[in-house]
Amino acid sequence: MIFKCKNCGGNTVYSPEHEGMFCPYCESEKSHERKHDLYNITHCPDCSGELEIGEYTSALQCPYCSNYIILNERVEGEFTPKKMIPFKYSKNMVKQLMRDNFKSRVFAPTDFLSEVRLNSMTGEYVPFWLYDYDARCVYRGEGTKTRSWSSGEMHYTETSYYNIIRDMNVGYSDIPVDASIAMPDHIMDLMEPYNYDYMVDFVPEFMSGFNGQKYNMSVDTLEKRAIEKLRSSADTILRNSINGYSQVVATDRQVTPKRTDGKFCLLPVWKYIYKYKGEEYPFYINGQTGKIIGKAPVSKAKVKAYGFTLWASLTAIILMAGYIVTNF
Amino acid sequence: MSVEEFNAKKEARKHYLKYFRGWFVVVAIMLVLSGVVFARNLFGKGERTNDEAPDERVFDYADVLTDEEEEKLTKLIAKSEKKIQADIVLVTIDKSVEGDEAKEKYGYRSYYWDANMQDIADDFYDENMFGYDEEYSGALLLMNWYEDEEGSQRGAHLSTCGKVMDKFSTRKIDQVIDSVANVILSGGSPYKAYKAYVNKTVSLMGIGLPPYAIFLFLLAAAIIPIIVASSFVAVKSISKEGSVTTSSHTYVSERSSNNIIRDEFVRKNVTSRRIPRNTTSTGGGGGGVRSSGGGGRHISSSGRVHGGGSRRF
Ligand SMILES: [Zn+2]
Ligand SMILES: [Zn+2]
Repeated sequence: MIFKCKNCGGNTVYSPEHEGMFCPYCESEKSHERKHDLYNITHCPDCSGELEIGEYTSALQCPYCSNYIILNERVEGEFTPKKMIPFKYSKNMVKQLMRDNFKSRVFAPTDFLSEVRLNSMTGEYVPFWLYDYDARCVYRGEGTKTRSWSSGEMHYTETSYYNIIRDMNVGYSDIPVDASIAMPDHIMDLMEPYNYDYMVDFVPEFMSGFNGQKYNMSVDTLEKRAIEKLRSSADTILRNSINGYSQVVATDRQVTPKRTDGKFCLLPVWKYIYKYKGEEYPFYINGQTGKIIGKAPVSKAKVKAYGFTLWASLTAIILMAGYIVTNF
Repeated sequence: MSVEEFNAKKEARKHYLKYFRGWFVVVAIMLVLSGVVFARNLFGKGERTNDEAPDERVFDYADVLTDEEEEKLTKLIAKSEKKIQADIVLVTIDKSVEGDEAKEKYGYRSYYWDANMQDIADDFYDENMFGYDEEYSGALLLMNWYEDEEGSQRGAHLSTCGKVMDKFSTRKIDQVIDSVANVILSGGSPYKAYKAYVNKTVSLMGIGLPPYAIFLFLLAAAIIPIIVASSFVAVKSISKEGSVTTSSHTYVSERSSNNIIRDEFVRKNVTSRRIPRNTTSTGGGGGGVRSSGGGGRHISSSGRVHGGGSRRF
């Protein structure tokens, strides 16, 4: 499907600035109309250009006419996302974020933050599974407390022994696990947290203007990553509930998670791949919070030039200061 | 080179110049200042303003120098005076300046060697109108070679005036006399001793930095910029991918509840031990004495202020 403007026929997109559908051609708001409800297309319904559709792609831009196409069969049926968080940051806003964030990186290559390069970034709706759990956390252990004092010439040490018993039910909701093979797991983990308060029911028109994917793996396949996150959280919660002991020895520790829900959602991510000297430097920006993940590349030429200049200036200043002071 | 590359280079150069603007300004200012100081030292240093003094600087009344040595010393002194902007005079005598005989026969003020040596030196300096400038800047070394059956009166007095007096502390005066004494006591010739006097005076009148201070300064000039530049490079090269901004509670819902949170006291035991005695002591620090210029300041018979000091050896 393609969303078109009722007024001018242009391709309408979701605009974070307008918090809704927008036609960039005639600047109409909410003038969208769903067109080309076709299935299993291989060519652009508008210009008939051949599309390169990835295995999991659900939304893409036609390389010929630049219209944003949403693939019906990949956002419907079992692939219908339950919820989505629309982009809050537009491309222009993210460009500004990137500039602010990396302006102090003097060693970054000059074109790293150039308009042309930054324009190459794409907005991606990344498929996520959001898991709900009830976790029973049971803990038993022995804790010791020591207290010492002096009286006269004697020093006393008192050791008290305690049985520590914890039995807690911890509810978890919406633990996110990305269901995209193309997106690196550890980067997607660093994208967190998203603010779920702004999550809305899925509507396909909000995908217009962005790339998208259906889930690459099932809710069961990815569950182990959710449980990993849950366990690390539960361990911390248990640990934090045990206080005031100088030493603790656990005799029993059990975390039993029971999944209560797992829903397919689309979460917004901006992707900027900067190519420098034959290497790729990927940057990912949370499309809702603006959190940036990525390592700024370092230009060796700049390191040399800046390091040398600083060294030379400082040496010259010190030597000249010495000369002036001693010969004044 | 494409237009794009050309523009990127231009942009990079612009960033670079903007980034180091402050540094370049400081370097430029220092360069100008250094130039001014250099030019002043090259041309601007005051010419000798006192033309009442004789040209002679070496007065070898004790006759311990050959004519050739006297000439060499005079040349060295002429060169050195320009450098330090002060006169350097050498007087050698060979007569008793101590005891009844000295006082009565020669009409000295005192019975004592030190006082008389000082008087002779100061008076010689004042009577000959020595001094490079209006302040009568200069130094005069008076060396006595007298020896008789009662003993040796060998020793030297350094009289300072004007800028030299301001700069020479008692310690520096001692250093000059030491430089002479060391040569003579180790069997060196008088000529060598006086050359040492001239050179020591020049070096002490100079920047006043001992060699180790110069060494330390150069060491600092070599090391500090390397440390600063490399830490700058290190800090600016650190590139963090991003940090974890979730906590253990990010996904915990309100459905959570605590069934049991219990800490049961089981037992306790107490152990004791005797506290070992130990004593500690503290030490005290020492103080230091600092000396500045103007060592041995006094007024000579002509009424002019001199600095000075003497030692027998
Ligand atoms: Zn329109
Ligand atoms: Zn097309």
